[in-house]
Amino acid sequence: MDFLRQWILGIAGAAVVGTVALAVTPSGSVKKAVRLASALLLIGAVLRPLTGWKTLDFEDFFIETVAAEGVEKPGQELLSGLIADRTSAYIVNKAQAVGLAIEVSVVIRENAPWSAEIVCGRPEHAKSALSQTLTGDLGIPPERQRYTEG
Amino acid sequence: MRTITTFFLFLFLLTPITYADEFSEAFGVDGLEEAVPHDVLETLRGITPDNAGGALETGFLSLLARAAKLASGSLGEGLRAALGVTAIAALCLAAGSLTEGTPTRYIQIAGVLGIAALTLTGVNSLMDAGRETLREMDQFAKVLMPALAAAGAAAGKPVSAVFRQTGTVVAANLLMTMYERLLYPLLYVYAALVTFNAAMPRDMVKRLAGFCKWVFTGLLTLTLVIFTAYLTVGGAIAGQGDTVAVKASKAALSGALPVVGGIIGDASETVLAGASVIKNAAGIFGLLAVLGIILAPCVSLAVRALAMKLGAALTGTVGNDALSGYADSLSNLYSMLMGMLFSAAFLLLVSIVSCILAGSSI
Repeated sequence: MDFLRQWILGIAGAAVVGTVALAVTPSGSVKKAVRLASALLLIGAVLRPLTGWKTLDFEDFFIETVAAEGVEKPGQELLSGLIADRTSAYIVNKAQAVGLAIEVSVVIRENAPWSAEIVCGRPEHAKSALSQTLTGDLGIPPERQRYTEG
Repeated sequence: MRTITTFFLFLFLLTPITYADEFSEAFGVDGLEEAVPHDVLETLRGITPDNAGGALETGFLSLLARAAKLASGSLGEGLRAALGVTAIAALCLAAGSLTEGTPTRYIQIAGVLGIAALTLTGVNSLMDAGRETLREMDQFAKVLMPALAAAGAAAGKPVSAVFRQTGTVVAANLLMTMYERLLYPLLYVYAALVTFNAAMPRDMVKRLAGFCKWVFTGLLTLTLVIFTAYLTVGGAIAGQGDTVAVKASKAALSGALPVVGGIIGDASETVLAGASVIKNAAGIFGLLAVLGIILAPCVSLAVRALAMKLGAALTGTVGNDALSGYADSLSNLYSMLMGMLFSAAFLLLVSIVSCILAGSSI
């Protein structure tokens, strides 16, 4: 980009110098010589880049492309959060149906319930009441279900 | 089964109220207001990224009202400049008829210098204002485009969203670099060349000034045409990738357990619908904000350009073609600067509209 700016400024400068020289030169053969010199100067300024051509460096124009993971991440996190909330609400609803008051924490992987931790006053009772539901309805196998007293 | 259905329906209806703030924060939409200049927010009269969804018409009317107010404020100054140019041309004509021994070239030089003194300081301050406007637009775009991309990806168009954001960011960087390193210097060169051409006889550097103008408009037009073609053609191709991805996820859902499938499907619907609403509202707010940012400088430049055209026309009636041509060239200078601001805004506006029009599906 700098070379383009320098080139155009060079052309403008040559034009200005030539114009001033023509303006101050008296009429006659001297003016004709000055006109020729000004024209050659202008042509030289226009053709200057061709004498030492450099490959344009466009690295300044381009930045790193945006990673797809970065763009999709907020939506994925929201989706995981919603699935976790709804899964927890479903488990709490099932527990309340059998008279249990529980707190649930669900881990989501690849947009599906992965594991669940259930905290309640009677963990053994909760396990016997809810284990089959978690396995059958939510796909959480017994080894990824955890029941703690709290 | 009815209990499960009722349960999910309840959750679906409750979700927009419960999760609206969470969605805004997740996509970075809550930071949009801080990125907009304060005077633009005042012009938009309470329109925010949260409520912009149905406020497009109101926003446009507010911007139009502000434009009318700005135009009437700038009109007086513009008319004074036009009359000043005409007065200088008339004085030059009078001086030429009163001083028969003096070469008209020196009177013409004096006339050009007079017009330059009258107008070029204003040009410099408008160029500084233009730089500031471009910086504000660039900063706003750096907040808006990632938010729209994230919302667009969550609304079911991840491939298109990345494609669009990448293109916009690259084009914006290219334009900003071009403005700073080439187009602004070109404007100064053009101003110098037209001033010099008006002062000297026989239009010595007229074609050179025309070349600068041609390079200027050509570069801007080429960049915008390429960018629009990229968005249109490439966006259609990228959209096919989104369609394939959605079909694949639908197939995966259908193979899951009924309850889990219902939960995932319901959550996905919620994210799609919520993200789509957020994307459209943020997009409309972005549209209005970009128009608000360029409003003041563009109205000022438009009035100045019209005033210089009027000055050129009036100077032509006085009989000084060189000064008339100079005033016309100064009008072109204002138009070129306005074109620079419009091109930056156009790039953002096309990208925002493209985001809004990209539908969501599951």
